[in-house]
Amino acid sequence: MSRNRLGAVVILGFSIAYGIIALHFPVPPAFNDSASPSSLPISLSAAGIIISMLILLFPTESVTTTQKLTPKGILRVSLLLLLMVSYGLSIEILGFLVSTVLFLGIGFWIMGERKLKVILLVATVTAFAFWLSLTQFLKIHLDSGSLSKFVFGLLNLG
Amino acid sequence: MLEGIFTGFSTALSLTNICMVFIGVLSGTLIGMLPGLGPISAIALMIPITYGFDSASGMILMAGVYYGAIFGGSTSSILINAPGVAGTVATAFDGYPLAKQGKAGKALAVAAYSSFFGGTIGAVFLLLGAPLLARFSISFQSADYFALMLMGLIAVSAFTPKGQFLKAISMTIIGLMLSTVGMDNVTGIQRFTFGQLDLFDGISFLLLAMATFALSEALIIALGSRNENHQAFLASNLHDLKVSKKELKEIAPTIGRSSVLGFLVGVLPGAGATIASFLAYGMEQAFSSGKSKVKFGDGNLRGLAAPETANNAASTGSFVPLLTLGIPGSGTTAVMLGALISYGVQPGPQLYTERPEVFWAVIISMYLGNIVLLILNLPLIPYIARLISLPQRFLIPFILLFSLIGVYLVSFNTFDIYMMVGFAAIAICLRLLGFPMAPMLLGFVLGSLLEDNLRRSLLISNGELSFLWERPITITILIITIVILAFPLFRSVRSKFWIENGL
Repeated sequence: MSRNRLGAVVILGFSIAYGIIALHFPVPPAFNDSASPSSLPISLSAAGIIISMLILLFPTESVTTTQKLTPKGILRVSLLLLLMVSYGLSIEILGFLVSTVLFLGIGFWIMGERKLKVILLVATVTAFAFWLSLTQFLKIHLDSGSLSKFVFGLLNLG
Repeated sequence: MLEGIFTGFSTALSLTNICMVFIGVLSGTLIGMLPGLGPISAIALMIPITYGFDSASGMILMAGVYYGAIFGGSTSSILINAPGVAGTVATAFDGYPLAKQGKAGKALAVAAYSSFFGGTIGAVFLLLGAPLLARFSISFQSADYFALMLMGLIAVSAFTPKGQFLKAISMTIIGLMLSTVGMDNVTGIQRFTFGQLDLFDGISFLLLAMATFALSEALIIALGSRNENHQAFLASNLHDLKVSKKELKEIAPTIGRSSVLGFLVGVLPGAGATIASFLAYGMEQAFSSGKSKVKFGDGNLRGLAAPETANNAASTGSFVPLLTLGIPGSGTTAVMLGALISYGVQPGPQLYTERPEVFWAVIISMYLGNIVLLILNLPLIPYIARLISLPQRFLIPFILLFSLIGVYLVSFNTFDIYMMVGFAAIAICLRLLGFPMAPMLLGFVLGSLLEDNLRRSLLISNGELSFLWERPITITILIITIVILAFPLFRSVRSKFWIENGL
């Protein structure tokens, strides 16, 4: 299947699913059918189905992107996506400062930097500068994370 | 009008706002210079910073970022033949050969002068044209707005390169679909939220813009190994910014022609800086056939001045529909609209009457932005151009972090980070399949406005579609829309027919 057709199939599937969900919206009695919450979504779903069918029927041969996909590149991007999800998870547990140092450090490593000293220095200085400017100059409260609260709680109990 | 201009001047010339112009232009140049990142990413990255500002200052900063990003894009086009923005692709045709000849400083200076005059002439046209259109558009009703938005959405797709029209339209529809997520304002019914509390308010515009532009552009760079061609850049004398009188005389008529063409193309919904720059380049070639000593493509100064002038004039022109009708005609102005709405300002004819200080300050700041670009940015270029040689292995994680933090600090909700990653992953796949992102963003921004106006029109006409042909303005706009829609469809079907019949 060509790249064009693959994209069209994805949009076709999305439009059908979107339309099916839209069909089940309740219509309040005060609203006539044409101005109901499902009017525009159903029309959009129909338009999406028609357009994706047209792409399937009249595919253009050239895909404009010149990007070459290499296994190394795909792995790098997948790792970066995973790193961003981990950042979302870690920011609540480890807090802004620690998770930002880790995010930058691991990010530099994924992108090919191998000098540990450079990684640590750049990641720590940048994260600290960020944290300082956000908390001290812009007066934004940044949570220290549940882990540090737990540890400090234990220390206080002790 | 004169009173408005004075109000605009007094707002734009306050110390804070002059600083905003400077910061905007400088940061726009820095971001725009990074290959792969364009004005949409630059503006999206700056939105979180401007949340605490008043609307006039915020918009002034954004206008500066816009200008700066286009100039930054030209810089990377000239120095390393890697245009950060589609609007500066034509700049590389003659700019990069000049840099290879060791005349990068001259090329950058010509680009800056052309941008200055293009932007300034554009700003004068905007100053004269925008109030006229704003006054005229006060008589517009919901049905007219609905038709106008439809025209904008269709036009932005119709002006995409050959073979991309259907893909662009499908992305517009996806953008419109995404805009329906969340609680319906009229009935209070939840749409496409799947019981998820975080989706009740809909998808954040900033989140979508960051994910589909800043994040996905950075990840696309990470996907492949960019050919880091810094030879011309390193060999060039960036400090020699001198342009002789003879050379200025040579490019003056080009600047004049390209400004007018660029502005007019920029006003058209959907056209914008890219088409303007290519048209101006083509026009200049036609004007100088046989006369020029240096061939186009070999470092002709007119070949550099034409697209540079036109893209800046077009960028100014694209503010006309945004400020007067509240309808963005391009991906970049769609982000601007999103920023304005986040400041609590609704652009449109009312902006001209109700918030004249914002309306005029933005127009005046366009002019100031051009001056800053010329007198402050140009001399700094030899120094800030060093950013181009910043290794990707550091740059990419920084861009990812800025984007994530920019969205997270607005909501303090980690769900937004996960959603961003999801959208970014989908955006990369769609980009690789040749689906453009700008129409999606335009569809998303216009989605709720389109639906509001459609519903209002339907309620007024008792649910009948007669509102589409009852008013002359509505029907005129719709006829233009059908003509725009028919052209690429006809082109696509015709070429398919030719291929099948071996013609």
